[in-house]
Amino acid sequence: MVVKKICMMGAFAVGKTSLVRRFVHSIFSDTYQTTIGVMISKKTLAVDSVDYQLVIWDLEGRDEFTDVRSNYLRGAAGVFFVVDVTRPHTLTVARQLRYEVQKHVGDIPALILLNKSDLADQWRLDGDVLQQLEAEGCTLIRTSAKSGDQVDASFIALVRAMQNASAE
Amino acid sequence: MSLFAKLFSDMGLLAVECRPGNRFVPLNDIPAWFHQLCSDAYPGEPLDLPALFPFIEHFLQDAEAFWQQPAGARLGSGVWTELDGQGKQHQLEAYALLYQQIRILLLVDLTQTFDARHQVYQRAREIALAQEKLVAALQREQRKLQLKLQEMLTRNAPLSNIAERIQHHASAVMVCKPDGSVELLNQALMDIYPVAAAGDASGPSVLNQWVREAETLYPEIHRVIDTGAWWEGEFESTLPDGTHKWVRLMIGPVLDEQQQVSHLVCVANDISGLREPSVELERVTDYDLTTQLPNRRHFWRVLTREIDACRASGDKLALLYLDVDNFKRINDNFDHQAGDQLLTTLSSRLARNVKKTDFIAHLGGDEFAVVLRTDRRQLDVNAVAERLLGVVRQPLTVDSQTLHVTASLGVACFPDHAADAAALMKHADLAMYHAKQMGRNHYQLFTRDLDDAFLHRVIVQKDLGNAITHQELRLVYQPQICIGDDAFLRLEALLRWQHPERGLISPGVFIPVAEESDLINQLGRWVLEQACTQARAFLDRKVPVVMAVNVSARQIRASDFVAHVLMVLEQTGLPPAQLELEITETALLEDRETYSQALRQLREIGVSIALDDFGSGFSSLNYLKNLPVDRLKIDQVFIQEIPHNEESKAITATIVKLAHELRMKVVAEGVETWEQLRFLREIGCDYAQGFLLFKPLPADEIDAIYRNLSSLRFEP
Repeated sequence: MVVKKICMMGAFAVGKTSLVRRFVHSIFSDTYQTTIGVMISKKTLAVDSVDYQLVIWDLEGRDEFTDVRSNYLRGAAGVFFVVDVTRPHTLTVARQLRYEVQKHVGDIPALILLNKSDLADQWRLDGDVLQQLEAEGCTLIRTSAKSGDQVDASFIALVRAMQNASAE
Repeated sequence: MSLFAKLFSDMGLLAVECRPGNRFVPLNDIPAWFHQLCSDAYPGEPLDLPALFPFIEHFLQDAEAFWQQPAGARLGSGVWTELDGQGKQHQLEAYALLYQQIRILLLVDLTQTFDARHQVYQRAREIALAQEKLVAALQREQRKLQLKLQEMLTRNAPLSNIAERIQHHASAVMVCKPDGSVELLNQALMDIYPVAAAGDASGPSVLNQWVREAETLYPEIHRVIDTGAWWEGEFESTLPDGTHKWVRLMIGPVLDEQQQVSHLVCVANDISGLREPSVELERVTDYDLTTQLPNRRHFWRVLTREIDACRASGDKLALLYLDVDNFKRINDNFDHQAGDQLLTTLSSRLARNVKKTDFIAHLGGDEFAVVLRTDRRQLDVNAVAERLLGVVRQPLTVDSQTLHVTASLGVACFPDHAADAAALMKHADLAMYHAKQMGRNHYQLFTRDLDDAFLHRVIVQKDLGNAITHQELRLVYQPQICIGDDAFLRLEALLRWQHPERGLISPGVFIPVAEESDLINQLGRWVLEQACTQARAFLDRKVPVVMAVNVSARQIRASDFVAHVLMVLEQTGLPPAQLELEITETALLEDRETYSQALRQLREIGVSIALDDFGSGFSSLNYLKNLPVDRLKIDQVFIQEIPHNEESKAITATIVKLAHELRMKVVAEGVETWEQLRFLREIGCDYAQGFLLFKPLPADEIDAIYRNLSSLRFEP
């Protein structure tokens, strides 16, 4: 069993905890429950015949009340930057966090999850910014913790990115 | 560590020592919450904390660095959440400490207090989320309007049509040339900025002002506008009257056929209401969630503001600081919710009993504060204080039980007692503390004496803690001379403190301070050890003395008191018969059962017991025969009144007679005149002690007294 630490990061109320709950427990609740501090969950996942135990660190959302404790990132093998597609500001936060992660732990595998993608009619993200991120080599995945769409696939994609990074 | 272990257990913490090889050994009983998370934890057995909690495994790296080189008193891990076997969330926090080179991890379960904190963050973020959505909606509206105006300008629509469209729009709109000269503007803009009518370039350029104000946050704004790109942002703008507003501005270029910027369309909105803390956000950050009263943060703001107002107007203000008596005991006997219920009831009663113009706050825990505003009228603070204590005293029901709660209250006034909010609060707190000292359920007005006395006590308490290690303490010995049939030399060991700056400090000053804390145990142990060592040294020099050592009630209450006395006797080799312990009559009466048991154990091995200050503490002598006592020391207040006070003479004579009938010896202390000594001899008192005979002396002067004891004549 290969143990890997993954961090969920992003602005507050983008759905980080919902994504973890969907992935780990296959449940979803519409009620927003803010996270304080860190919540750690574990899930085993087989990717390409390798068993992984993912230790998922769901970090409190970034806002004016909270800053990210950089030491929480130590030992992380991969990161999800979660964005709420209905709130453009959350993409800015994700970009800031991406920069901070690079500064503290270097270039580790990271995916940007465009969450709440089921709310297509409220999509407010700037297409140019997304294109720019893709041009910079970021992988963007549209997810919905509510429907479960692309949630498991995102974790698998991150594990593969971690596999590739290890291979390099 | 045993004292700490108990403290940790009482506080519901788990302390573990981190030993080499990552072995985590619990230092106290494992609390119930930990068992819920880990059912196979056993007292004294190492815990595999890193395996149990990945968070701790991670934190240990930081803790290791802290233990190697501590920066500060402790290192906190931050909050993390664990699920127990029942699926219940526990919010935990770990602290790394270094105590006497022992590497300690403290684990704290914050779950009980977490709800309140969670509620605050939850509401604050919900409000922030709602505000963010409002700003997003505003942004959409701005863009829609701007696109429409751009489109009209691009197709050269008449300016009058555009003016008509924007004139009554809620957003401030301005269409200008790239140089800032205004082509069109609407009323909403003129309501905010002193712009002249369109076409008039004499006034200040609003565009320039915006760019200047925005560039501190958006340094790129010049480049963006100059290159004909679209820009939007939020910044603080200064209005002509000097006030500030938060503005959300969008600037869109209109390009001509040559792709040159022909116009700039600016749409602005005042978003100050969304930027400043909302009423609801204030509600969750400024009010106590349990009692719904203003909280400490809110209180400080109001107190500071009120003091400023009083300073300007010359009015007076009173601060009443109220603390519920024994709240911790109530909280411990009931559950957390019951404590909250009690606080809520008290809050409601207190709030109902102050005027609407007064301000009441719940400062946290069991503390409340009331700010009384006077409006120049004579303020009857006493009446308010009595009323508030009265409403607290009224019985209240918690968990179907009737409780009788009291409070202590301190009052300080501005400007009479303090010149600022912090000093006023400190003085009100000091007065409250004094009210507690007076026996609780009282109120106390601040006086300067309180401040001086308290300051002195604080200094004494602080320095006394170091007095032993700094070798500032010493013992002197006052002989008790036989005036009856015995022929022993008895000495009372007396403690002296030579303060390096304050000189000799009287035991009457520092012993009461020590008795309020655990320092008295530390001092008492030191005195016993020194006195026994000295008595043994006398014995070795063929000077057999009985050494009398004072012990406090608090010392005897310590669970290891008897064991410590036995240990000292063993270590010094002093025969138990050479040691006498003196305890005051009032202390012994405090808890006769417990103390008697300890003293009996010591008497059984030969240590004698003296009852100090005897005669003033009770009215009946009946119980005396049951006390484990060998000697009575008559309270010196009786001796000092001899020979003039017949009652004191009668009491003294009675005590001596009674003691002899009970086969006890009697010591008279405070003997200062020949008349007193003569009287004591006449009534058959056994020993006398006092300045008439010998003042307290250093040890090296005792030998000579012993050698000459038989030749000494205590006569005028």
